[in-house]
Amino acid sequence: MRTNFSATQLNDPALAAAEHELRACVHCGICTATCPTYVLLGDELDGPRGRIQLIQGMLESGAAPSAKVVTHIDRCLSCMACVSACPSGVNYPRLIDEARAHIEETYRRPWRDVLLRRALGFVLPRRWLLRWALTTARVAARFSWLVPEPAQAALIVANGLPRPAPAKHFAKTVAAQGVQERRIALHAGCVQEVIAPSITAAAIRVLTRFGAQVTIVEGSGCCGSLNHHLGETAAFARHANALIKDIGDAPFDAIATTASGCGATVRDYGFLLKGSKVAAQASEIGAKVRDICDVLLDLPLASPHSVPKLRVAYHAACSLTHGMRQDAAASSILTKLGFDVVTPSDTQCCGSAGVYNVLQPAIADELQARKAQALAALNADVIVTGNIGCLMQIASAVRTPVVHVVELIDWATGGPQPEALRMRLSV
Amino acid sequence: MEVFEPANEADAAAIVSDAAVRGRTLAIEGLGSKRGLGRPMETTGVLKLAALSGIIVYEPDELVITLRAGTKLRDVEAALAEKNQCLAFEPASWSFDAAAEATIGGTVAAGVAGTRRVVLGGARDHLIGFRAINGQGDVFKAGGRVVKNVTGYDLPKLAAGSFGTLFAMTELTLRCYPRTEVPTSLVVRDLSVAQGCALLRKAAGSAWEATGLCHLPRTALDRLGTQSDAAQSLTVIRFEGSAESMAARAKGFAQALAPDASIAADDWSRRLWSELAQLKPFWNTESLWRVSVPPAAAARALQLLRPECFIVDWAGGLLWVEYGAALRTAEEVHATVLDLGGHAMLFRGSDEMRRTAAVFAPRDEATMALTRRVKQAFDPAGVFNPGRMYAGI
Amino acid sequence: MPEPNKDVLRRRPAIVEQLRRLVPDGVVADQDALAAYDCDALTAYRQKPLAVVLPRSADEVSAVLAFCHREQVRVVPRGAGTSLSGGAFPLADGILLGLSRMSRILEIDLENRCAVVEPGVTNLAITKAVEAQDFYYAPDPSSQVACSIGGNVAENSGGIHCLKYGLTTNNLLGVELALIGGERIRLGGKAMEAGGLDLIGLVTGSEGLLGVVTEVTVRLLPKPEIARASLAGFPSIEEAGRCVSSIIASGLIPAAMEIMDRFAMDAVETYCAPGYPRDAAAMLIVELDGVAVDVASALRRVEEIARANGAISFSTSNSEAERARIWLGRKAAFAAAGRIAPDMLCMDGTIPRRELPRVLSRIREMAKHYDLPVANVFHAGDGNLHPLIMFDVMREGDLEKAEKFGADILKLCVEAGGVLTGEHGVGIEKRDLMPLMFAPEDLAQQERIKCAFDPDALLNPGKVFPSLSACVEGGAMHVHKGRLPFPNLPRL
Repeated sequence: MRTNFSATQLNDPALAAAEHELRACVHCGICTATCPTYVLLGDELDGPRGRIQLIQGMLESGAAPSAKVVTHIDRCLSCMACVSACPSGVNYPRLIDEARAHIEETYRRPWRDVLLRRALGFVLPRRWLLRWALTTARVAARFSWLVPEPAQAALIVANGLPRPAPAKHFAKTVAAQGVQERRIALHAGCVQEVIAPSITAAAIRVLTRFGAQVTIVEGSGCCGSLNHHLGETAAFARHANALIKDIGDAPFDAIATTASGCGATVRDYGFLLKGSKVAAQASEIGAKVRDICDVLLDLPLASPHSVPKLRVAYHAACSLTHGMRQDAAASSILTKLGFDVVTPSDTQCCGSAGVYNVLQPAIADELQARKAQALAALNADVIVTGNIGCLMQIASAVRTPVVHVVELIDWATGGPQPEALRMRLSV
Repeated sequence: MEVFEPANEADAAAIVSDAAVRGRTLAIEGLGSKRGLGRPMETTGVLKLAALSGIIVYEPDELVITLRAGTKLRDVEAALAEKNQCLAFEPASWSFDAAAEATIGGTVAAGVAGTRRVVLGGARDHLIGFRAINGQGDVFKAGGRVVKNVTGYDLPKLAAGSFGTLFAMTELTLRCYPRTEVPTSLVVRDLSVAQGCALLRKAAGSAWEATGLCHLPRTALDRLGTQSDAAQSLTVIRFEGSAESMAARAKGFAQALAPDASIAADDWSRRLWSELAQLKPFWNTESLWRVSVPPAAAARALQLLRPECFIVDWAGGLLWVEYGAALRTAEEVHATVLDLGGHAMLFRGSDEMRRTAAVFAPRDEATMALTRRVKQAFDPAGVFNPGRMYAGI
Repeated sequence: MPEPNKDVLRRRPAIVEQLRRLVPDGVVADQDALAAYDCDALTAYRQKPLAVVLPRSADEVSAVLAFCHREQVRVVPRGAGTSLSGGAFPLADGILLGLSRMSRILEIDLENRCAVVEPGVTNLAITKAVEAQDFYYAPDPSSQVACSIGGNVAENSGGIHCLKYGLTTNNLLGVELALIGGERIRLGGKAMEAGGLDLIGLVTGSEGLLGVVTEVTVRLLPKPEIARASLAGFPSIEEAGRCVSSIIASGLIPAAMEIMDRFAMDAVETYCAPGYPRDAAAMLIVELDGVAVDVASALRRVEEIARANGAISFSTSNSEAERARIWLGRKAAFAAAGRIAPDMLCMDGTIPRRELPRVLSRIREMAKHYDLPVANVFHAGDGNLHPLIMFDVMREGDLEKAEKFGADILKLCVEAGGVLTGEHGVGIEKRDLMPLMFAPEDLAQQERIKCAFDPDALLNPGKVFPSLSACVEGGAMHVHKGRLPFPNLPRL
């Protein structure tokens, strides 16, 4: 498409990158049908092609966008289904990220929104604070009528969350059992460690069981993904820098993540931190980031006992499918281990999308309901997924137990049975 | 009544233009084989286009033929057969008068469609371009000589089945199709109408590519020249293609859907399909209806219509329905069929009956108003075939 | 485009307010938001509409149309906005009536082999809904993931498999159409024939000029037992073209026949490495579907014919994976070409198959003359060419040059006995070329049909026809450049 930026504007590398993507878009509209919000709302403004035009308008003018425009940009889930669909290879994340940062810089949100967004951006990446907040929120939810509407939604969501699990402390490095074949850095994130530290525990067991030495990397305790999606550039950079520092320059074979939401962001560190002091290191780290299942594909996984022939419904997280593009590994491993793997007909986002379900509850609920229906139709014994956000979102809408893929793999290869399954299968 | 027999398109256009100015009306005719179709007309003149005949360009490699409207259907088919091709929509002569032959113009204008329509479409799907004279005597063309064409309104679709009420076609361009020598027919005996129709629907929804899907009750079988024993009914499924393919499909189909089916002899098969195309069972019929219904409603339609004799074609999509002396009123037939989501056409009936009853299924007011305006768009003075489809149009 | 009606522009606030009352929560009127609606997939021209209206039901469509009719506001219907000819290009004084919110599949009736759907349902969604039962909807335009069935009806969309299965018009059973006055008529239904004048046939491909589709009943087909593809490489594109004619002449009707030239093959090789023949100047994909024995014997004949026509390589798929591999590069062709040049113009003329060699070599000469690269990727089986002209819209004069090149190609198609558009529609893109194919009286006759449906020319004016016609009693009168000839004379 034709663009209309001034030479001065194009001196800004971020704007130049955005311009490059705008030029690549041919406006064919193939992306629209794959966008969950377009499918739901049927408005060009709620699809990628329309958003791209809104973004072009705001970036070209440089001025603060209108409330209407912000509403539609805010509705983007960042599921990146459009990226997979785009025949022209438009790198949509470059555009939506730039737009979010631009909105954050130029647009004055209503104070309630600001409060909610700041709270999310501050609390979620800090494990101790989140642990405290969750406990308090459960109490506060009873008084939700006292708080303004957007915050009510947050409380309701918080109330639906499982209680924070008792804090678990992992050793920095865990040795491989038997001969050490690999050195793997395992990223421990923010929300997951508070809600379900059992996932990281399972990942450590599987990795070490099959010859990998595991080093936990966590930096500040968050990769910065949440702030990034809120357009909070500075906060993101702080978290990212801390993680990079923690990873250091140890010769890891791979950096594994058990939350693909984090994985997708860390993989993009190279671009996101371009021009900063750590840019080169960020690129190297980004290139080494892999989803836990993708890493496990290289390991000689084997089952010491026969696994029950469970029907496993696999929900591929958008960040894994469209962001990291490593969604095939999980199904392949589970099938190899003897599970009967099925996938839902609805391959769209489940509505979790980071903090989306808090900021856009109506759309998130509708997507959640659709996903739950598609999963229910599979009549599975267990639902697995590879991202904590999806896991919580789906678990609160279905009766089938939902666990992380790596927990199931751990169990099948000699680890303990996942708690959610223990309760269900013993009945 | 004046009969005009123009020798060429220009003369024909002049006649029409003159008629429009003088407020006259014209019945368009080829060789008169379909005079009995539609409502009887009283026009001041007849525009006979039989002299506008002959093939203009036939390009077998392109699967396209352009010819003048008055060309005899028989001649078209013969020319195509020489190149081992045919008209895929299997046009029958639909003639009421053994002496009168069908022309290609009349065949297409009447929207004739044979058994193969169920898979390959009707005249509308095979007419890709034409030249015509509108009601003011202007010659215009529409469509083209290639199949894939969306340039301008698709007037060929409108031409097929317009019964000459809009314009007089002078030249037609049609798609051609590779021809098969002898079809293979699978026959299942003694099925009830409902069972027969269910089998036909299954066949139509299967991957075996049947091109003929008929059910014939005893009453219809008795009127055919094909020898058939005392079966109460025959459900017949036709396959066309190479010998190897027909055999494989017939066998595969029988195994999957109709274990008691048998393969008919080639002679029998050839004769059956040819007689059905000519509507032989109804040659002596006084009152015949052509009923188009959603295929799954076929058995129910026959139950409600209670005809004297009938044939089920297009896997239930088309019913030929005959009434003898015990006439049902046209209103009853139309109402019953409309109710089932289809529409009926009084295909043969006395002049009196076709004058007084609705020959074509009545439409709602908005559609009729639009039909009238479309007619006016081509023929504002109402020169062509007045009242042939609907009174006053 | 027609001169905007100043009175309507002046009344905009009142019109928007009325529309909001008719379609609550379904009107877009902010200027910055309207930017997202300023074109469809033809991006060379931009125009924000007066407002966008997104109804959720046929009743709302009717109400909006009745209102626009009463207020004499122009209406541009829009499906998914994937038209390559500007079929849904907005008007400054017209509302854009988007049908994307009407996207429910209303009924799947496999006994009658049909599906009843709202107009906003995507083409592919219909097939997705019935594929588990081994049925599908045949027309498959390359935008089928996104394009809507209502838009398909309006444009009479085609696709790769038209050769055997026809265009949209050959696969419809029923249409509900809202007329400009708001009244809705039902044409056809689940029966194979509609009865009366074939108005479905007329409406299909009418590019939104006659009415707004509010419901569609499509014919479903049983999935063929097998589909197999073969891939032949030729030393020249002319020989590939001749092979196509020979295959048709032999009496075979393949499901699809696609040609790509060397330029396109190189582009896809870089893009997705499908492993197409390296030494060939052109390649031909022939897909056959149907009963397995049939397909196998037909493929043997295709190979004989291809070899006789000079094929230097020939391979046939023996599994679904191999078939997908053969199609991989073809399906990625447009995307791959997009990586070579920032902008593309995708032309869409149809010619008689025997003219393929001559027309293709002419196009190559033209490319030299205009100094713009062109990739040829097209539906050879039905002679439907899609030359992709590559250019850079930011380079001064490039767009104009590309458009002129495109027009020359279409002229060539008409001159070769073909037509201006095989499946993309006329829209605004080819509007001014219509006189190449139609004489004034041919166009006048078509415009009189427009008058029969929409005498005030409120529905999608400015598309398809090079001049606006004013309707008079019993016909249409030509208006040049938006003005009636002799405007001061009284008319009937």
